[in-house]
Amino acid sequence: MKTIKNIVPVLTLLLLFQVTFCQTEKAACCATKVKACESEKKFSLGDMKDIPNVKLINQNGENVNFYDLIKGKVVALNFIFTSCKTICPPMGANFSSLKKKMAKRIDSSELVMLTISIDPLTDTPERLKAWSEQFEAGPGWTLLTGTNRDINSLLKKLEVYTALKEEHAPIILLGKEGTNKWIRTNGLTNSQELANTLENFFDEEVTLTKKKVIKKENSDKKYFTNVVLINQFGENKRLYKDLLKDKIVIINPFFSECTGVCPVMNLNLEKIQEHLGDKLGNEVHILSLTVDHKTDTQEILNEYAKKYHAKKGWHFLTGEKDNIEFALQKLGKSVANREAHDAIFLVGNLNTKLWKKVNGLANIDDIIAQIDSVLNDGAN
Amino acid sequence: MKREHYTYLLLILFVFVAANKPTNVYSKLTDRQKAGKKVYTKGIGTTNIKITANMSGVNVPATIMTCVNCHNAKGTGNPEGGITPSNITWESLTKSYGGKRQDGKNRPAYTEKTLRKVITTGIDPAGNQLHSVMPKYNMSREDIDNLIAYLKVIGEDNVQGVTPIAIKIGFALPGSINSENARAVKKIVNAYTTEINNTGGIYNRKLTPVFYENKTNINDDDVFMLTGFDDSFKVNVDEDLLIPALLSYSKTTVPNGFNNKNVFYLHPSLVAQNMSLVTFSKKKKFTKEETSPSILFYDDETRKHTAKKIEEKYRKEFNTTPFITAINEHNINEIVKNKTIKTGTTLHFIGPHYIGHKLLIALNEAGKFPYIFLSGSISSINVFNIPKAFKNNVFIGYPSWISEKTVSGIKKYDYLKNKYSLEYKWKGNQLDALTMLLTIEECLKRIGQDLTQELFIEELENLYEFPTGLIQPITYTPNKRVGNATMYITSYDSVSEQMNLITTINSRE
Repeated sequence: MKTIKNIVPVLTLLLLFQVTFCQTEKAACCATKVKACESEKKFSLGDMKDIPNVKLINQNGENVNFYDLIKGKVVALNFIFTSCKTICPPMGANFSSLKKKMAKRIDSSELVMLTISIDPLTDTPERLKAWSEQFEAGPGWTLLTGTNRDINSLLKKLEVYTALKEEHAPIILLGKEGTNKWIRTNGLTNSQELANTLENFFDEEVTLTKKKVIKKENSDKKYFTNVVLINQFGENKRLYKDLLKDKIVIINPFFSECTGVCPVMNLNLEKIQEHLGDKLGNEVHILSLTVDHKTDTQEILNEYAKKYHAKKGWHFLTGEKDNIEFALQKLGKSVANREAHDAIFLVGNLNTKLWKKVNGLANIDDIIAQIDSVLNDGAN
Repeated sequence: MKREHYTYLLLILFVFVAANKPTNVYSKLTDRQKAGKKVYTKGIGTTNIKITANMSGVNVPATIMTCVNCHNAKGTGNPEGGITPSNITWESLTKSYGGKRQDGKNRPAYTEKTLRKVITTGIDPAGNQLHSVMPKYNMSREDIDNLIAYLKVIGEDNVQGVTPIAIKIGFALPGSINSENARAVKKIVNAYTTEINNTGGIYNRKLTPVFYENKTNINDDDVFMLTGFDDSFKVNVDEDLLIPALLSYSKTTVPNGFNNKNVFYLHPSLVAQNMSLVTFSKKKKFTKEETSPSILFYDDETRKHTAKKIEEKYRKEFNTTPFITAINEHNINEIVKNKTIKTGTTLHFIGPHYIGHKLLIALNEAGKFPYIFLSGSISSINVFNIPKAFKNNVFIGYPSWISEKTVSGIKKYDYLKNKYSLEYKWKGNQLDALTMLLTIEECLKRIGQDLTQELFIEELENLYEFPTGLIQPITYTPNKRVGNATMYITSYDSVSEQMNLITTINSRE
């Protein structure tokens, strides 16, 4: 009874929130964020009223209620079966690694880490326990099994059900119960990235009530982070504070050995540079991020910048492998191999949250028109 | 003249070609390759440096993430959950024009040196990092060299104990090899395999039994699997041979499938069999709080272990302290005098029949008639000599019972018995042997021509209510390593001289 009472106001709030959330986020940033919003819309754990009473059994053989475990908590949730040889052991190791990175959040009971067996017939509590002990993870990790019916209804609700257990995917769900901000991602992703994503879920609700602008700024800062990159002069630049905050930015991916689209894009940027004049380096900045940090050292970038007569405010950025890759990923420009990068300028106004994608190979007049539209956004 | 020369040349060429082709008949692995195979399949090396797997910064024993898990026994890779492990056969690794990674990047051909590097650091010869799901392994130089030696022949190496014309099966006989018991069992195994082989074998392979006595070192033989009675060599099975075993019963408690991959049993372990008697006694309220049970065991390793386990159970579940002592021919009368033993209490006897017989007579003379419990697999008693005064207070637990035998099951046995004139005296063990062989035959047939140890284990795990007609239907699962958990509790009524089935108990093993 109590839970139902609690859920009703939460639900109404969620309904309101979902609409506003997606709109603001669309304005807030780039491709990945919008995509995330769409998938979140499809998948929500905020609404748990259908399965609040799924009774499961943990690895110690104790009866637990799934909803009680996650109520009000930030949750990391993955799915395994103990006789799975291929991807489950790596998932277990990765989860254990994530757990170590999030130890403080677990100790303070803000975060729960759950693993649900997708083969409850075979996976007895003892078996789950023996399985998890292989990874020497220690306490704070709950593994769950139950009746076939309960587990399957839960899996279906979470949209991870597969008819054959062998067809399961290495999915991990990250999110906060009671909100509709859930992320479904690859459970084999580097555990540091998973940890970074998880950090975004804490204290999010508090900002809801605060002033909208502050929330946006915080969310941008939280999203982009102050990961450190290096420009062509060897100076450290923090992604959010130094390169994005309060600025209008034109962002493009490139690498110095690229002979295809990069020269064309750079010539366009050179023309944009001329068009911008004094604005460049003040309110407008161009950020060219390398997708080949190994080759593109600071010295090479410096040479490269000179070749295109880059002025103050046109940053050629590289950095530590993890840092530059993280930045690229946040900007939706992450690629598996350098040739796969796109030819799109990401043009954003950090103050008004207007972001546009502009074809970097288009007619220069068209490009400039688009850039100006972002530049002048909010002026009226 | 010339033509003859050519034929001669051709003949020589042919011989050369034939000789160069890898022969399918037992191309045995070298010691080095064998050690490498163990690294590949079990994650266990030969040095005291434990092999570890590092995945996203977490070090786990390599036994959890063995190569074979993802790259499979042939090295070709098992795709799962969107991950496609690389083909790591030697041919594919060392193609002179290199290979293409799944992300489209190229890499040069591997050499031993670059292979060592990629296994330990995850960096391929082009300097690219492998997918993060491939762990980085830390192992001694010796182990990695062994592993590479094995990779050179992976996919080409034959399944141990299997040739196109034969499957070698190790059979552990009960007792010493020349005992009557062992000879009787050997005879039915030979009879059965002769029958199978005369009708074409299994997929044209003849079943070839190799017989072992207790505790024989079986490492030198290339058998596909083990079956039979004694599980004293099971340590070898687990640690070294990596081959499946289907055995009659275990002496000690059977761990579930997660901790016990290779060894399967028909019946509950001796410990579980005896525990079922305790459960039965509890159900029937024979064990009361104010009386103490007695446990009399013949002092050998197995029986002592079982006795200790029974004692433990009584302490834990009944909060009583049993009277536990070793019994032999000379101290029977002394033991019977003990005050704990009296009518209305329970007494577990774990020993051979000649002692059991004397014990009952001594108890009879002393006028004490406790409830006697014994399990048929480890203890025996000549029921027809039980003193009449015991009435129906003697309970015997059996892992199988006559009611489970079907007409077709009995026919199978009788056919062999008549055709090969088998001794009836050792029927119990013969039936167990036949049950195991029928189960093995079923699994081999279900697997088909392409036979490996892994497939055999998988097939056993898929066995659901398989009827042999000799014991109750057999079921194994990834957890369950005991084919049927039921214990049949019988009693002998010394007045009407009849054995009666009282109830069945699930031994929960």
